[in-house]
Amino acid sequence: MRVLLADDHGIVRRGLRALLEEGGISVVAEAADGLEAIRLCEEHRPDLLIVDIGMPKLSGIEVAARAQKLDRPPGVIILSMHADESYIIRALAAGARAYLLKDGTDEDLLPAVRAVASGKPFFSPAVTSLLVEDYVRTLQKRGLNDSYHLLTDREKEVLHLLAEGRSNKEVATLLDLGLSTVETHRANLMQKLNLHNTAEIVLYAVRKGIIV
Amino acid sequence: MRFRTWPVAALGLVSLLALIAGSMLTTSRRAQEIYAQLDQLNTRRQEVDTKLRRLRSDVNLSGIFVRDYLLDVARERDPEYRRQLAAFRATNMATVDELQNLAELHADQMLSLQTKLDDYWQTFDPLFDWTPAEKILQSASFLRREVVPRREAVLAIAQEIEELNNANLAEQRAEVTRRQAVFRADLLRLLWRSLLLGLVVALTVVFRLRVLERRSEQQKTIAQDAERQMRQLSQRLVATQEDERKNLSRELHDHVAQVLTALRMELGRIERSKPPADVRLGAAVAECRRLVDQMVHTVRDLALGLRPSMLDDFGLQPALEWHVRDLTRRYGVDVELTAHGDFDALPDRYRTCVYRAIQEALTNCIRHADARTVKVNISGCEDRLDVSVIDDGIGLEPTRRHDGLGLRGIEERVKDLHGTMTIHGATGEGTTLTIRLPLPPRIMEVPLARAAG
Repeated sequence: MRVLLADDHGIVRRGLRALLEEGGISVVAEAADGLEAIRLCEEHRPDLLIVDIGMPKLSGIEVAARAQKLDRPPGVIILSMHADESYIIRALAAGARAYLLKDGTDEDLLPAVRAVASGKPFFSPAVTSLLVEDYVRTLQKRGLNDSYHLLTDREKEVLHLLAEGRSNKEVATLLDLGLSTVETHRANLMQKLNLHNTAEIVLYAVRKGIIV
Repeated sequence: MRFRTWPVAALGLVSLLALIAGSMLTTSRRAQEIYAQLDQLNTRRQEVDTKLRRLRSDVNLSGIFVRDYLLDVARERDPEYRRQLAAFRATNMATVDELQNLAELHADQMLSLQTKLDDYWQTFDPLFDWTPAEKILQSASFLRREVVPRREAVLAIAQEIEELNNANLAEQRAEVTRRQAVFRADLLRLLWRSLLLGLVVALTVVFRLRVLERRSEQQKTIAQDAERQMRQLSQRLVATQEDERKNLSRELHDHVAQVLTALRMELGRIERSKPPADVRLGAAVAECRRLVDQMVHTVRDLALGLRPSMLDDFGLQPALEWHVRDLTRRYGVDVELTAHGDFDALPDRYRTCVYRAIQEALTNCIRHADARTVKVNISGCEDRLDVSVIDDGIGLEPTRRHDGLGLRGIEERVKDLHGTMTIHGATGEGTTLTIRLPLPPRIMEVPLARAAG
């Protein structure tokens, strides 16, 4: 697997690189700012982009978004100091597949790399528990019932697969359905759960504990 | 002791008025005097004239009467003539006495007049002893020799007295005129003095007023400058504090936390190193990692507490949403945040002001008001931003209304942006804080230059 590493701190890059190499993963290039990351991405066409969320010139979120526009977009792992959904939801919306808290990188980086490599999303356990905690508290405070039970079985299946990062087409193949049917299911479940984009679907799934 | 103008001005004005009043009184008194003198002079002259005329006419009449007597030869009417002549003489003498009183100045002439008159009248005394024959024989010569010269003498002296009287009048008139001139000069002098004094008083007062006005103007300017400087200073203070917080927060986040991350990874590497380190070293490294983890959390909390990165990375609403989540996590308070409007283009000063205001209000709700639920509303339109924070806590006691630096600081920030802040809340009825900020006409600040941290 070819990995591109982007972080503006040399010592952090060194630590990450060592960590990856321990796991037998080779780093094809290192970038110290956002623009360099994009340039190297175009140059090296890596399978995986590990990018710090806060970088000079171009933020990690912006790098993730631009990387998605390449012909063969790499899987993106965002590294961040922020355990807050304002960052997480933007990272997901920009196309990131994994969101790692930097202080947990030591344990989480290799599992995240493996998850993303196999097309699954990954979140630091600390992030997941935080999101779930907030969600549960919100539900308790508002006294609102979760609308998850309003979904049909089919819609639940579609939700799971979408949350795992499958495209509509993949979902259609896996469930043996027509593409337009999947799209209808998707639209319905989004309306029922009051979700507006894929990032929110993923976030919802994380909060519900559907995916970890 | 400071020099005071008003007693001097008052004194000046009072003396000016006294001078004017005094000169008016003196003037009228002296004018009256002069008129009286003139009047008296005229009256006296007229009287003297009248008496003299009577004297002359009496003398003339007596002459005619004597001639009549001399021509009358019948003796039976003698006593009648004698009596009438005596009457003429008495009247004549009385007139002379009166004249003497009036014209005492011409004592010599008067004495001579009297003598001449006595002489004149005495000439007639022997006439009444005359027989009719004597009358016929001596009359003409008597009249010619005795009466006419004496009569002429009397008339001459009367004439002299009249002339003297006229001369005297002219002299006295001249005297009065002289006095009038003196009086006029005095009056003029007095006028000039009043004018001068008035001028001095007026100039002093005007000058002093000018000085005082200028001084008060200066003081007003100084006070305004001082106030402006205070405002600027407090504005700068707030801005500087915010900048410091931002820098410190970023520094903690971008450097301290990164180094700690690297440190943690290094420690992990030591732990996983082959061959494995001995047990005691392994335990020490694990403890170090625990400490580093603790430190990372502390640094992260510190950074967020100083200034949440979301405020600069994503804007007002995400920052407020984070803050509300954070408060709920920490204190279990139910905060309901509703926002209407687009706050992305909000200039940094406004963003910061609103964030800090809500932060402070929420802190108060939790720390002092003992609130369970808080409603935070922000609504923005083209030219205005309205913020309200409503809690269900114990309400504000009047004494605590402006306590603490927090709310006052917020009020300063709000005022700097020409906004208004109000706090309502009776004891036991919760508290409502409202802020209204006028927005500048669409200053497009580069929104969120650093789009993630």
